[in-house]
Amino acid sequence: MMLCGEFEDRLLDYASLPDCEREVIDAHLAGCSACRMYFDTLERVDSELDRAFASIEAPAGWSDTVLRRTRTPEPSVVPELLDGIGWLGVLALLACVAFFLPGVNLVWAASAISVFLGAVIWISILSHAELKN
Amino acid sequence: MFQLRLKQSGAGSESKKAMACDQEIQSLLASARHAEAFEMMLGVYRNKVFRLAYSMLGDRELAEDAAQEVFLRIWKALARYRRESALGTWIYAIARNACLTQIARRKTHPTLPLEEAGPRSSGPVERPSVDILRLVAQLPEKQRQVVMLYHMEDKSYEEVARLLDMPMGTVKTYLHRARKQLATMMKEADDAVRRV
Repeated sequence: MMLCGEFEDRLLDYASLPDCEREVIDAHLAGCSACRMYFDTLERVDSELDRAFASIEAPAGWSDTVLRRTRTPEPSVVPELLDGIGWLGVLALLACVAFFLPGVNLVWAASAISVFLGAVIWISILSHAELKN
Repeated sequence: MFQLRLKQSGAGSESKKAMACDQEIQSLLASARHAEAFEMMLGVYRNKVFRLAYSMLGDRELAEDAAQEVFLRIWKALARYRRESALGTWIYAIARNACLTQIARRKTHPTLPLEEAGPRSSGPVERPSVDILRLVAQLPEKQRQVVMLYHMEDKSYEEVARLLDMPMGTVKTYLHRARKQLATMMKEADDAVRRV
């Protein structure tokens, strides 16, 4: 003989139970007012949840707002961050190359290389963060 | 006697539509027709993303903002989308990340979840009504997300599992616990009303 406490879990799964098990539960419910009350409460929970959440949709006009906000240039294959910082790196690289030409100041060469390395590290960090997003 | 109390379960028509459209979107992306692909994507996934955001944030207005943010992120990343993962999986991952960012932001500036302030209707009610939104708001976060999405997504365990990136067994467990807790809370609320 199953006790009322054990029925609670069965009642929660009532919908997915096979017919034979459901018959046992129906028989118990017919004679047990406490379990019947619990079952009614469960039914109320389910119908209230349906009432609150079923057929929820994005509000009308919402898509238009999104489309308006995306009417910007086509998305780029290159991460956006590369556009700005990347150019800085390219300039620094050119400067590095230029300073290996004859008659170039070594202090300037060292500065250019530092800027170049800094830009590379910065790009790596930001690109990684952006791609992660 | 109690036979009519069966619940409907199964993937919603929207998810089927999404699967059918994914291929078309993929081919548009392959030919770099981003704007068309995006518009189609928006039509197919807007409700899914909105519901996911609503279930995670518990507030419709926040969900609207978050879902917009999600699609802006998608637009920016569209050209870099690789076919390694299914389109839906990619979109839902972006949506979850955007919502988690919002949740983290909200922890520093907390707001009331699930329109928690006051009853929803002021008109006459058939019985002393319990505000289900208020009860749902009291559930632990994961249970709340699962129970909301389950009812929004046509009672499909599969869809909820896909949206939240959880095993289906975990979804069932959370749902089971959530309904049990909601029933207990509703009974307590009823008892309190009766005592008054």
